[in-house]
Amino acid sequence: MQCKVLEYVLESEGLGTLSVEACEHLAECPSCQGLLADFHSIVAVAQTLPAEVEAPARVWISLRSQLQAEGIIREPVEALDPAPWWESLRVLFQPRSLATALAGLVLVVGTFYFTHKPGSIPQRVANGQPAVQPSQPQQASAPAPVPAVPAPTTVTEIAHAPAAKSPKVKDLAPSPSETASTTLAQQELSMPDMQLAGDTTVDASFRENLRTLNQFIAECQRRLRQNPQDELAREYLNMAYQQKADLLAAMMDNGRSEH
Amino acid sequence: MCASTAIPGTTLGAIRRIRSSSGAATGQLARQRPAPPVAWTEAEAIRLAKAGNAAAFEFLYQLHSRRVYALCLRMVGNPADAEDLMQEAFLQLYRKIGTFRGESAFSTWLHRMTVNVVLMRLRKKSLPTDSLEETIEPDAESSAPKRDVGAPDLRLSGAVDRVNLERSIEKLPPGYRTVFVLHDVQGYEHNEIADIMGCSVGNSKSQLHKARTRLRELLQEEIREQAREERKAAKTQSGSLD
Amino acid sequence: MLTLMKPRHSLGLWSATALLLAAPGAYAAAAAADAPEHLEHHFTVQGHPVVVLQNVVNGRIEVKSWKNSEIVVTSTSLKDRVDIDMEQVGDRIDIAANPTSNANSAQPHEVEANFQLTVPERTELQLKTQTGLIYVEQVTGDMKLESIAGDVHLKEVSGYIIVKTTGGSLVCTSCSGKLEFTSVSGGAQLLQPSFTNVSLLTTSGNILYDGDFLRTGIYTMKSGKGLVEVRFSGNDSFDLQARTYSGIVDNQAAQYMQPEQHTSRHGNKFTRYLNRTVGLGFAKVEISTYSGTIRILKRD
Repeated sequence: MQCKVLEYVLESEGLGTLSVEACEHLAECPSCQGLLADFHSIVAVAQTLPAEVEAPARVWISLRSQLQAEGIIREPVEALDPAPWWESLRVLFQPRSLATALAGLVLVVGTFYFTHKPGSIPQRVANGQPAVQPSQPQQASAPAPVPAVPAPTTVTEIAHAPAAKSPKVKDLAPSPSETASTTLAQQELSMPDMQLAGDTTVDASFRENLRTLNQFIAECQRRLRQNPQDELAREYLNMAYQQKADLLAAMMDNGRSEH
Repeated sequence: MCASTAIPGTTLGAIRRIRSSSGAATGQLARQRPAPPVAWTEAEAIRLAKAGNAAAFEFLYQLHSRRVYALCLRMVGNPADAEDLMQEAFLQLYRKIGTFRGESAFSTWLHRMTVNVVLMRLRKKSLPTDSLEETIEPDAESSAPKRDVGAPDLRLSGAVDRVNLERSIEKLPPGYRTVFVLHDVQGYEHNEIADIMGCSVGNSKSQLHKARTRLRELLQEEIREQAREERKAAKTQSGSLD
Repeated sequence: MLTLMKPRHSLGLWSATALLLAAPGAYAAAAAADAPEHLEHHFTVQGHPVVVLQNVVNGRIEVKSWKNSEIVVTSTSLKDRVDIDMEQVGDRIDIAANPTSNANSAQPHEVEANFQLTVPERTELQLKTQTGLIYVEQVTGDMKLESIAGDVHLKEVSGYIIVKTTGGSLVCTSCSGKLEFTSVSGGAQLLQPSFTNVSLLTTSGNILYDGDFLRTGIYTMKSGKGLVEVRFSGNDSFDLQARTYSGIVDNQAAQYMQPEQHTSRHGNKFTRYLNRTVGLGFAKVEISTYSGTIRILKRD
């Protein structure tokens, strides 16, 4: 091995464990020995330099005032009282058709309960919503828990979860993808019942693209079932999940902004 | 990425609100402040910062300012400039926080912005060193570093200390300096540096090797200079005693 | 009989006359209510301004630049259908267009607002619309452009550019800086680009890159089912990695390439891959499709 080759090895491999050929050359070449020793000295001293240094307090004070001046830090407009308890229910009932369906469901359940003994209320599942299971008389009149209209952060979290938890090469356990797939499917079930927007073009675009993504996801899933080791399919599947989560979030945002 | 300069002296009074003639004010641009948390994760703080929450901005600043300041200080060598650059980097970051999508680590994004701000400033100052473009291009002729011809290699073991290393780092071209500080001082891996600098991993490794080689040369020169000064001082002293 | 008919006859005549006289007025009032409203506002700015425009209703957004330290916003929308909100804080301009309560009964084409912005050359933009075109010309600055079904056209734009659409396509002519594009079915065409960093991602759209690859640049282009076509020139120098599962790799420039020198293989037994080097391999180009075609050719 020549000195130039050793330098190339140091450049591409760093100062870690060297190959046998490199070590043999080092044993014979004082110049390269000196080079490697000097590099180690430099790195050793560099690592003692502080990686973090406390900045003066005036920097944050100046930065904060600049941010306020530009309006990037925004002061609240309304009072800071926490939202009243009925606010969360109002958000739930924003889509009108869903509100109607739920109100009807509550009426039916309530009527049925008061005309029959407790415990004999049949379970109902509508549009993917969980069964209504009142265990106490007082609970029968309460609105049934409805996950069909989830909080916005749920979809946002899903949007970032596949990217943050994308499996590495050796870790090919399907559970993160399966979880994402199931959760996204549940989100999607609620979509047809929501009035998304008064604009047909936008709505049609959403649905067309959702169809495209679902078909692509199905294709990738089929591929992965046949060959779980296929990294490319997994990469594209994760990409499609991410896009679907973003799309569902955009559809929900669009629906809310129209009401 | 284009840099936005700070706007000195802007007051809070310059707010204009304009409504269309069709309706009453609906407050579409109003925001609600969430309840103060017990503890935040970085992701939560980013989400709140996007909504304009002041405490969230401060949280992110406290989380990252020390590393950013250390990087700026190493790059420009004096605290006053480092403070300016750090403020500029955070300002740019907070202006664009709405565009952060979480595809890379927030700290990587912040460091990328910091490096860009610093390098832009160094470029404007036109230091008598290589420009960034020159330093991040691979040597077309040969990637092998130069070696002094004729002068024997001077071993640095035991002779390198923090003072002369810091002095030598300041003399490095900006591109070499950045990679060296990020890797050997702050401990970033090459893939992270490639993300920050917007180059390939190969380029990052190449620049680091060139930085170390150049530092070796600078340190050898410094040590030789020191030795020369000591010999001169000793000669003068012995001459005066005669 | 005649006596009985006389009052009815005169009543009918007066009614008809009243109607005839009122009709033009009513028509004018209705026409005025449906007439588009043009608004123009001027904002004085100092440094590099930030413009945030959220067009929740449909409509086109056009942005051009000039050398003045002023932002001019011109909007066109139907009165009583769209609420337009504008706010300036320092050098940040926030604009929002939202439907009014009257919009529920309106036709979709009535609920839209078109915007024309004239901004300083160095301006940061965050624009969002639904179905209209976003057009930006000769602006330098970081940008985030979002559309659902509308296209995005950029001409001589420079900066860190993020474009996100659901179905809209991107056409980028003579732009530079860094570009990130994500879409479900939209495609991307980059013509005469000078980007140092490009990331194009679409599930079913097509991608065309017709331009140079800058030294040390990193270019990533991924399409699930669409075509990805790259046209390079004789001066280019890049490492190429192309991967596909079931698509075709149509390499029409094989004679200008040599076996890969710098990158290690990334394929596996399930993918088709092509790793080549053009010139000295300064830039890095990664192309990937799931089932779409990859085409590589050299421009004459």
